[in-house]
Amino acid sequence: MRTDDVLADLGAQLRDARPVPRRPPVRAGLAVVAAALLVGLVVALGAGGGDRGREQAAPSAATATATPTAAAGSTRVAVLNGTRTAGLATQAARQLQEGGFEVVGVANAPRRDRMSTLVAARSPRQAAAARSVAAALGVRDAANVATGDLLRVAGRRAQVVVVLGELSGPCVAQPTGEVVASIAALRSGAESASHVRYPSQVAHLADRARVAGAGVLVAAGTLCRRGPGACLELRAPRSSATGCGTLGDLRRHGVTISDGRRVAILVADGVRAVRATVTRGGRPYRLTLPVRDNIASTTGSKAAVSALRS
Amino acid sequence: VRDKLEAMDFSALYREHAAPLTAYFLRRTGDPETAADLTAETFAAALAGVRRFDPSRGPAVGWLYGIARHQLAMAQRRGRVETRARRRLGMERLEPTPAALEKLVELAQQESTARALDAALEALPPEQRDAVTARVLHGEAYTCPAARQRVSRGLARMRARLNKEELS
Repeated sequence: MRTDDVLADLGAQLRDARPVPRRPPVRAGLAVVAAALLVGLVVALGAGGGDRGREQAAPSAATATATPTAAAGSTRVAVLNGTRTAGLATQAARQLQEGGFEVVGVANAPRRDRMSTLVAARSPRQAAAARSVAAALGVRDAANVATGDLLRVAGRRAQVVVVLGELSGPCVAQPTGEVVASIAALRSGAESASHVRYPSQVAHLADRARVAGAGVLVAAGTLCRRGPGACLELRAPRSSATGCGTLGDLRRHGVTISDGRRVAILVADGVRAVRATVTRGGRPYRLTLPVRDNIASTTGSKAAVSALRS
Repeated sequence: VRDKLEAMDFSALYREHAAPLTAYFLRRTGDPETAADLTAETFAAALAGVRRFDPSRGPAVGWLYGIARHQLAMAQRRGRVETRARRRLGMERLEPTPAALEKLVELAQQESTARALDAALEALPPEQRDAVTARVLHGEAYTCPAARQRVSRGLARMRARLNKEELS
């Protein structure tokens, strides 16, 4: 139903609403309610509603409401550069255009310190479109809804907003398994990994942990690499957060990654061992990792895990 | 049912609260089309569930905003607006023209709408009002992070606040 005045037409529809019989056949009680509702409606909405001409709502038309499908050609995307690296947005915009998306804007994001690339829908209704954009860019997480800030920059026409991070581009490395390390001091509530989003926060977390004498929970899940960058997924036992950074960032802030598979866990002074569970090939391995220079490390590979076990 | 419809004066409820409710949804979703869908589904759900309205528990507007919150939370969790109540009532999907959407946004920004929204919030039980205002004023979707972090909504809200403090 095409409408020029949403609220007036909605009022009209409510007034004309006819309960649609359910399949299987309506129970007697429901039918009475339905009939009563109908009568009640005429009474209740007689005076209200819009003053525009209105057609009877055909039940068949209502049930035919289709789930929106996300065709690339009909999706309008705004591409924002969330970094200080010039040209990223233009490059991604070209990539999207080649993929058949309509790019309605290229601009700088309000904040320029993003590490991972964000794909956000204007509204939950455009989630399917956001997923197809994310797929085209090789971004895994598309279940975001854009905030007002982004929407203002993206413009009115954009259905999906892309904010490029330093690590834009497809994640090329293979998942390397998951490491979840927990340190007793952390469990007592010293800090939460859910705060960790950016490398600077890793540093912050490390400092606070040192001051508090606590260990830092670090877990690395999927590690992906593109050029000199690395992306590390930090996972707390009861929450999840993603921290991303370039290899240099992570190294500077205490988490070292010597290759795409290595996981290092920063711990506070005085912590001599870290218990970790390493999952590889679907099998969990409980490990006690020795600590050297405030770093406990392991790799996700099975051989290394076996070696650590013995 | 007829008594209840009369008791709550459904048409007056619609006339007075369609615009503020849309404004509420618009602030929360940032998208006029989604807001219109949510408004439609909320009123349809209210109409279809009118039997469950209990006047002894407070004014109809509180009940309406309760449904609204639920619809919003569901939409955020599932990534789409529910259409069940509208389908049950045989209501067509509204497809607002761009002009209609502009009009909706203007309406939502009008001062009278803001006042009506305030009044509606005032009528809510305190606990519910806090939940709604927290979401309206802070513009943070707490259910989303809550679902993502698998923690309670309260904790997600607290974390959001901490995050905000830390980032600012």
